[in-house]
Amino acid sequence: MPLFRYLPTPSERMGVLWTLSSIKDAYVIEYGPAGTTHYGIESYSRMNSSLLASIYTTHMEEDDIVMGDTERLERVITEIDYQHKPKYIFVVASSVSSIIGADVKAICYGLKSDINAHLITFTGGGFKGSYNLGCRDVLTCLADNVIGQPSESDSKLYNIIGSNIDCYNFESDMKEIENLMFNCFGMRLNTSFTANSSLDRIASASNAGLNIVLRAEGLECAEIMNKRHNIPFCYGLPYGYDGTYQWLQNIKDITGISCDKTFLHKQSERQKDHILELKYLQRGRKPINAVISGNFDPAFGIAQFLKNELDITSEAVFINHDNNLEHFAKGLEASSGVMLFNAGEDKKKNIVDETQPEVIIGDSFLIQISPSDVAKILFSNPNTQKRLLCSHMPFVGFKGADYILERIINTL
Amino acid sequence: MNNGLNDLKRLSQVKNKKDIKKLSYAQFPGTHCPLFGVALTALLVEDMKVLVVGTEECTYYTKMFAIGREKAGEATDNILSLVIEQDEVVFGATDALREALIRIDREYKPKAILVVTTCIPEITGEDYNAVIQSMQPIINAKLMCVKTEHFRCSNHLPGIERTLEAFADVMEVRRVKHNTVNILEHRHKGIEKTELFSILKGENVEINLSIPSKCTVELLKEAASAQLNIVTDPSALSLAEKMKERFGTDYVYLGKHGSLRRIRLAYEQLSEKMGLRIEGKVEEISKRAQMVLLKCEEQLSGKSFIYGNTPFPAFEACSLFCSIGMNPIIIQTNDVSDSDLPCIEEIMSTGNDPLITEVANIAPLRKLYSSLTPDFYIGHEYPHLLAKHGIAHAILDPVAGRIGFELIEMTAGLLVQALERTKGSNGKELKHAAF
Repeated sequence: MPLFRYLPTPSERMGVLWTLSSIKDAYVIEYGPAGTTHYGIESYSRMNSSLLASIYTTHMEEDDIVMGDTERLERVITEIDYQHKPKYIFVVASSVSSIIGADVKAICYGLKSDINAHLITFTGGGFKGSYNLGCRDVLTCLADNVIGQPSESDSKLYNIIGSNIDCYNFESDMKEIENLMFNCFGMRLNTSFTANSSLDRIASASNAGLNIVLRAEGLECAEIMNKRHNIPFCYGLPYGYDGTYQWLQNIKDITGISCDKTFLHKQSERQKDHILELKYLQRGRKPINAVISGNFDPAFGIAQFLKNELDITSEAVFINHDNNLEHFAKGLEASSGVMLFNAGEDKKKNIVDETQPEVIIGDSFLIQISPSDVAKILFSNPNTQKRLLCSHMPFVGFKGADYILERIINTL
Repeated sequence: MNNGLNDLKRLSQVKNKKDIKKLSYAQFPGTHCPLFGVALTALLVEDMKVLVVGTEECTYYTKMFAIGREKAGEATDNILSLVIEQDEVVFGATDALREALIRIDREYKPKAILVVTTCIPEITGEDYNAVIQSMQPIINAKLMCVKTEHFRCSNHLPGIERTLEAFADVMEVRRVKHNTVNILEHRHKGIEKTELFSILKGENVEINLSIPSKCTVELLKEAASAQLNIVTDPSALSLAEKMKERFGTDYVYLGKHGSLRRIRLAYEQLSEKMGLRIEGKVEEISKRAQMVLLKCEEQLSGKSFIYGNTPFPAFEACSLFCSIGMNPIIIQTNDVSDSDLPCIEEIMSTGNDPLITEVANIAPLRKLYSSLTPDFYIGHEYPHLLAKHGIAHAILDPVAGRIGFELIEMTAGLLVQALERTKGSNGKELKHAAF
């Protein structure tokens, strides 16, 4: 039970709500005191997102807690079902309902015969782990429950799995992936899980010929779709110049569609010039070092770009959530011990103070505790500094590599 | 189809909280909780640390709010968090609390630490007050505790009230300084810009403290040296009572009144208790306010409105709006108490008998905008939604720090501004300020 001076690690319940919040037509019921719902609703704009889902609270009063009365939840479910006639209602337990032992699953099961909507429950109540698990749970449950049979399969369509509002730059990064996919393969986005999406679009995800998985939390979702609908998937984020080539190569291998060579050639010429600029600056000076923080996949991806293409060593790669998925082991292994999951505030501060990195790529806290005269790139949440309006400033792809390199070059 | 309106009672039928019906069981966005009320109040006391004990959600969002307020230059981010996880639910969190208090005391050396418990600690039933009492001998900072469980109250106001009450524990017996006052529950910068300040200054009355907008823990110790407390919001009445009981400090209530008469009466009481000669000045400001209201009435009379939430108590605000000829269709409120009765009578005397519903549930209301066709929505709502319906949107937050007649003048002014922004060239094509 650590003392936090800054922001604690968000819970899996917060991850569930964040991931659902960006799905239009999703009806979400929070079973708990209203205050947390209100607080949460006010947080979406701070995450550079809009609330697209319809989120409601049941509120809870002392009688509900003392007497274990669950009628309040039943009434709200019935009301939403009757008034809005949604296909699905997502019921999210709160810490309070969990502690008093309210069996949300059983309540929903009991209502099944009286309700038209399909009830989907999330019962962790915030005690299951860090936010990324909530994201994983939502993505998996969408694959399990919402995706229908293909109506018009099209091999030139793809889905993006794992673009979620907890990813700081999700809007720009997703746009850039769309640009890359169109320019290289002539492929178009079918649906995204779950940023700026809708339940109808998610339901039609099986029409696509490819799934692009941007985070490990989306792998289960992709595997289900692979098993049920035979949709292959490509996992990873396109960071760096070579990293983007490799990412495109993987897609080419999976889909069998060739890349547009003219587009790639143009990128290759630019890349050489830009890398040369950095190499010139690096002559005769001590090696550049960095500290990174963020969600697992972006943090790992950017660390690989710095190491493999820019000769910048990461002193630490702080992952802002728990080490709670099997897949993270691969990252740990590849990072030679510098990857730290859910490190405390003191640990982060000590490492920054001791290693004196020249490049900081991370969240607002990491930027705040770093000296002012180093290259600082706000790259991940929590973000307490910036409201993003532009959707053309990616970190991924060739443009993203340009941007990161430009920021580093101009500060060195 | 039942749109919920048939279930609501009219103002004349509402006798107590139970008569205030919901438009729907499902609530959006729901009320804020008392933890938010604590944040609104405690962030203004710079030399204090606030330790929030709760889940990730409670602590994370409160800290986010504090960071935002500090960034906006409105308060100090003095929030620290102790996060309750599954183990603490089972085995208790008091040991961790003890360690945290020692650490905060040594590391930050604050003058006070306000421990804020949330829903989960109140359900697990650990006695945080006892922990604090047992720790006080070894902690330099003054320790205080405020409970903010939301399942026992209906909004954030108890958080403000309890925080202010906790401040009384810091106060010490002092010799009373003649011609000094405290302003209680002023939560905005710029007390010097208020009408009240100007009136007091004119009589050489000094403001000892403005709590919490201009105070520190060190200064709070001196609160009892004021001759009189001026209470500007109902949330501070319990602090005023406590100070009266403990230190003998008398008080007057100059709250967010929606009636010129009530403001005049409050000033009269102030004058009497402090021995001031402010009748002339009060008369002059009152007349000016009356003139402003008359002018605004020309544009606002006959306009209908839905009342959401404002810095005023709900019925005070609606009484004011009715007094200038406006007609409430629906009033959203949490409670009805005896203190609301004069305002309710004033509203009814204008021939209005609006529907009453619970506050902070705007989702079902939105479906009614097209059939109710109000001219105004007064309170927080999404501007683009109102614009689509051609409804003027008045948010009264800018006047929250105002006291007395100026509050009424500026409120009426804001309504007129909102109406003008919304007026279209031909009355059909309405343009909202948000676009």
